[in-house]
Amino acid sequence: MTRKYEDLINELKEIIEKIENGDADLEESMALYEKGIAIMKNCEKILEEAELKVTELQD
Amino acid sequence: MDWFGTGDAVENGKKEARSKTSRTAKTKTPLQYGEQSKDEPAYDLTDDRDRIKTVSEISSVISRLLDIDELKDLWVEGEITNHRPHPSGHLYFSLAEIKKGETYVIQAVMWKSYARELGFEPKNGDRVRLYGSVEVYEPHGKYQFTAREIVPCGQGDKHLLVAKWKEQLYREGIFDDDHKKPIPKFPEKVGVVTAAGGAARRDIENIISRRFPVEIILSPAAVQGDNAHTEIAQAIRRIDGMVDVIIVGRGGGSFEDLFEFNHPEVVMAVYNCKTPIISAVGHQIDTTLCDFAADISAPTPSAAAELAVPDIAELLKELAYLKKNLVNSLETRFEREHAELENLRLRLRPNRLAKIINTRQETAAQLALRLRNAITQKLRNERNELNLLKTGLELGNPKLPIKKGYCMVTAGGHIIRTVKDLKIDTEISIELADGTADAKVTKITEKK
Repeated sequence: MTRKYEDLINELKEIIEKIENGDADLEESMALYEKGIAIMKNCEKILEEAELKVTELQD
Repeated sequence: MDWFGTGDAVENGKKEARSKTSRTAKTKTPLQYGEQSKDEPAYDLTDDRDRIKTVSEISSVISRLLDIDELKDLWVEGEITNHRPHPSGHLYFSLAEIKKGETYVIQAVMWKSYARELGFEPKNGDRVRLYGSVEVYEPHGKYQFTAREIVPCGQGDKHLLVAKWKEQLYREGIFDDDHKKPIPKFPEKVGVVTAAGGAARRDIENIISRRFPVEIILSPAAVQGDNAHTEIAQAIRRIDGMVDVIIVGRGGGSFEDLFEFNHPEVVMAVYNCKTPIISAVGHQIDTTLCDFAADISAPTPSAAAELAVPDIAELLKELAYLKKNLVNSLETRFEREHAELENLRLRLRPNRLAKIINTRQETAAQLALRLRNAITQKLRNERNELNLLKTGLELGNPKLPIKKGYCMVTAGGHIIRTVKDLKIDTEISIELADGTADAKVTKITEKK
């Protein structure tokens, strides 16, 4: 779950860079933005839903 | 193992000694010789040169003589005397022994790099065991014991044992930095090896639930008592691979309480564990061998928990920052596109282009005018011609009625206009639009 979080954050950073440096055309940039917002929501959801769970191993 | 490069030092010392000898022989000896009284029998120092040793040469010999295995890597026991704190951080003291009323003393030193890892502060009067080697400090012609470990004797053999283990494990490379694994930034599951009912467990769970609540898997083990080391090692092996990071530790306690975390079985379990390990044994000042072997060592279990998971508040902050970046990036992009568009628009309508358009428009207008004139003229000409034809037609084309269906009758080359000119059997010619037909008159009827 949180390994995914790291990947998501990295993807988000890449998206921002792509839009910033103008690699993508305008239409693509819009699509990237939409995707970025979706990823952002996902990240927020992961953080919101984080929950302590304790399991005790038996011998 | 040559810990301090003493072998090299001796070699260098010898070389240096030799070069000093030759210099001394050339300069100093004749000077001293010159000071001798003429009456006294002068020693011929040039002849005796080989018998005279320099100080550095002797030091070098002593150094070489003491460079023997019997004086290296050994334990020596005695009482600390003459110890006084030194601002450099090195420990200078003597180790004394009273035997049959005689006091034997050897000077000792522990360099700062070792001194700062000592778990206690040696005081005068402490009975201790030193681990190290006898070494010669050549410039002072002084031999001393260079200690790498100091263990208080009064507290039993456990200290000695830990020191022995430490030395051994260190030599085996168990504490090497290049074996250490990175701690994951966002672990999914955190493993905890500690006592099920201990304070450390509570601290770790509290911190993790506050910072970033993830799944904690507890691999319980007794953390003190004679067999705890086996339990700790087993608990580490049991949880290895099930989680992303493991915290191994316990709360503070005496040296004896924490002792089990020094055991090679625990150290090796930590060393061999494939999952990154954060060690947190005791409080800040306590250091166990488990801490040395772990990938990272935290001063307390709470600090270990902070190292294990990120702070959710920080993550939210980062996320908000990224969100701003994302929106900004698109806005910036739009602004840039606008600017570019504006630029293009400006480039699209310079006066130059307007002129070209004007010229073309003028040309087009002229052409249109010429065209209109030309067509008007043409029409006028055609109409004139037509009128001319019409006039001609009206002037009378005798054959025009023929085209309309009338016919012309001739006989003997004359147009017949009246039946009076005809007789029965007169041969006549009837001319029609598309040809002539010859006929004979068979009947004549005159209109009355």
